[in-house]
Amino acid sequence: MIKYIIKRFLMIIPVIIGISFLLFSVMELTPGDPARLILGETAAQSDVDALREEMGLNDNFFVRYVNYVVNALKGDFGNSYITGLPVSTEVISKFPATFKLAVTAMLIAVIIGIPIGIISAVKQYTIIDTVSLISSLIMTSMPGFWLGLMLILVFALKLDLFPVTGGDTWMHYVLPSVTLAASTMAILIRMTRSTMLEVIRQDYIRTAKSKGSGESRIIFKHALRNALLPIVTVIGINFAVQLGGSMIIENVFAIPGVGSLMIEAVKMKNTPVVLASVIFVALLGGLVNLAVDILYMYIDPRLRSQYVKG
Amino acid sequence: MNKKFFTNLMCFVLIISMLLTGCGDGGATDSSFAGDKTEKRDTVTVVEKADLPTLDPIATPDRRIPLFQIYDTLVIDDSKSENGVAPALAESWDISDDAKEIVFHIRKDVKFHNGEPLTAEDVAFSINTSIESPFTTQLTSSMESAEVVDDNTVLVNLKFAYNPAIRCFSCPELSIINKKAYEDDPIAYGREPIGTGPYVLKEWVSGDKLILEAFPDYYRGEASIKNLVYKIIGDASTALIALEKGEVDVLVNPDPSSRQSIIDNEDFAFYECNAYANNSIAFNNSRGIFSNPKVREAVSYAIDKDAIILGAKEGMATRVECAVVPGYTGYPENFKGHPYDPEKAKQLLAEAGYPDGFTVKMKTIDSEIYKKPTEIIQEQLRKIGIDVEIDVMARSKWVEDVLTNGDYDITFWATIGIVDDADFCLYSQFHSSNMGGNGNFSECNIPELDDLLERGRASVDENERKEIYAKACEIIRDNNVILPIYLPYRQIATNKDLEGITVNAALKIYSYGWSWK
Repeated sequence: MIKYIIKRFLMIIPVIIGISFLLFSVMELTPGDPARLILGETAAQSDVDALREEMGLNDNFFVRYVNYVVNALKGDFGNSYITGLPVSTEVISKFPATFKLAVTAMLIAVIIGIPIGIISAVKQYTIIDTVSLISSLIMTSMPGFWLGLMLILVFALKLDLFPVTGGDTWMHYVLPSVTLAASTMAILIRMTRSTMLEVIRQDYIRTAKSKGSGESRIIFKHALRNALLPIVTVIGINFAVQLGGSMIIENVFAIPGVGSLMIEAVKMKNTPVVLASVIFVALLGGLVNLAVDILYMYIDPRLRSQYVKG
Repeated sequence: MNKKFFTNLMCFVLIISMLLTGCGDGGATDSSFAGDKTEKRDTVTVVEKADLPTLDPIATPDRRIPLFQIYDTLVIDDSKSENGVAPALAESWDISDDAKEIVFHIRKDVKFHNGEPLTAEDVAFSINTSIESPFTTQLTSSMESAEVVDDNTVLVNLKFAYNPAIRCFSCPELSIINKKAYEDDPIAYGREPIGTGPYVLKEWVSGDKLILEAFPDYYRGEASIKNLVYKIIGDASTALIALEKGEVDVLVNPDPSSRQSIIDNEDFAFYECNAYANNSIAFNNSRGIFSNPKVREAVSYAIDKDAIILGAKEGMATRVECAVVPGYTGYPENFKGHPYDPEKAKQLLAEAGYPDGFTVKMKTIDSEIYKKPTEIIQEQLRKIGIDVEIDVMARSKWVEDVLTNGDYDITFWATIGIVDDADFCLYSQFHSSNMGGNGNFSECNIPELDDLLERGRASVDENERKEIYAKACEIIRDNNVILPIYLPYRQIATNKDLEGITVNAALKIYSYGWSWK
């Protein structure tokens, strides 16, 4: 079992290396000179050239990439081109805000989405089912920034219930989390509903019913547990998607997280910050998926026996 | 097993929720959410569109508003006084007859934020650091060095006779910094600045906000607004909503589409003036199809400037004819440009050898500020037979192609003036020595113009300078090096109860004179 976990953990490493190489190449190929962007448009060309030399930007691409990887493995992700501060501290300091946002959004999506999906499945073809299907369609179709702005206009401005911007208190996270949760919630509602419907039609459910088990016992003990596997998969994958989507939400709600940091860094071709923040997010996504894989084993005894035996 | 699993899951969820609520710190600095009236009167919140890279005034390419509050300069702009500047940290100064030296007499009663007195050592150090810095080359290109004469006197040596030199010292790039602290650790200085200005940095939450506090020992007296908060809001719509709600009090250069709704809203005050940014059509004068002066001349008659102002800026811009910005020292009054005459344009194009017109690419930046005017220009040129293909690109690529490499034929660009003197408009952009990525991206090489520009910057006679620059502008117009179109507006939207706000064409925003009603 432990061997399985370690093996899965080690598999994350080639993924990270692949991502870093891809990003490094993209930053290299896109136009724009970081030295020029730092010094400004009116700076003398000779100064820009001197800064390029100083930053090592004229060295060979592979030399720079290898240097970067070697340093990164030692924990040194370089200094931000713009502030000159170590990138790792900058990214880590911004991380709590993004993490809070992503986790809260996921919790909202799970706590609201799954029950609605269950109800929808149990009360199939009733009005509740129709309403939940339509609302999940609407939620998945709305662009995040639009939904965010609409929520700000209604709940922050007109109704004055929440603050507009920033990340100081928990009240600041309500609207952004709801915005971010919307699409995942929609997916979870549909997913839960369809897997539950599939499971409900199984023989063992009919057996349980005929044995005289109560409704809720059937739903929770027998049906949901078997339906959980695909749902948990969706949660795992969507967490990584949400981390990416948080960029736009952070921008709209002015939350100082990794997403905002990434957007600014891309605009300024601040390669060290872009690389570090993306790698960070990728690592997080990888770890969440690993956690999901481990969770599988608790949910499904068939998988557990496969791995524990070895 | 089943019960245990769900019990564990519930515990996990509860723990996470507790952690999250625990992480939020209950709004320590959340001054504006509840709208507490008494607290608000002490504080003004200003919107910043992006985080500052540093608070070191010498190591930043942009003029960020917080810098004007933390630091002072030797002089400040004053259009009514001689030389265009008034005393600040320098109580008086002497300019040598040959305009190659300036002696500053420094005030004796100024303190830094850490209590240390301001001395000539700090002033000389600040000027020398700025001269050496690659960030400020455009401003300090005329300066050689600064020397300490005595505790309160500094001598600045210029590289050549340069009349507008004194104007440079009102710019934030020549702010006075603390020598000891800066020499110790210049990078840390940018995060924990020590200036002599009316506000001290209290807290900087990276990516979120900056909090400044009034400096009680400021030499002109403590500022009436005790706290300044700079909230970083990247999205223009969010910033406007925050202003409406009262979460922020000042919004600089709001989105143009919201201008009318701000003016109509009684809770806001709105201030507007011309910006010191000459938006012009630029041509590559030495390579490609526009190296033919007749072709450039044809374009100059084909452009209907009023139509561009109406179409691209909804009428909110001021038409200009001259390469020098109106209001700058040396601006020739009543300058006339070419009128709109599409028939003449077609005729000139035929004379140039293109009676059926031609096709050309026009590079532009992916932003409404540049795209809209470019589209209108495309339409106007189509009418005289020139088929323009618009090439939209990211700003960084445009800078590389056009400003650095001169790899373009025609484009639309705004030059920002950092000092309001004609020399700053003209020298770096039109003197032949600045070709090759140093500002003369029009690749203009006119010996007569070079000569005028050199004489203009050295002359100490105001009237002589006026004549020189009038002639220079005529040469630029007659050669159609560029075609100036308009000056956009600078705008500030504020809470209506905030007084003392002035909008400045160069975006030098001083909060010192602000107060709540």
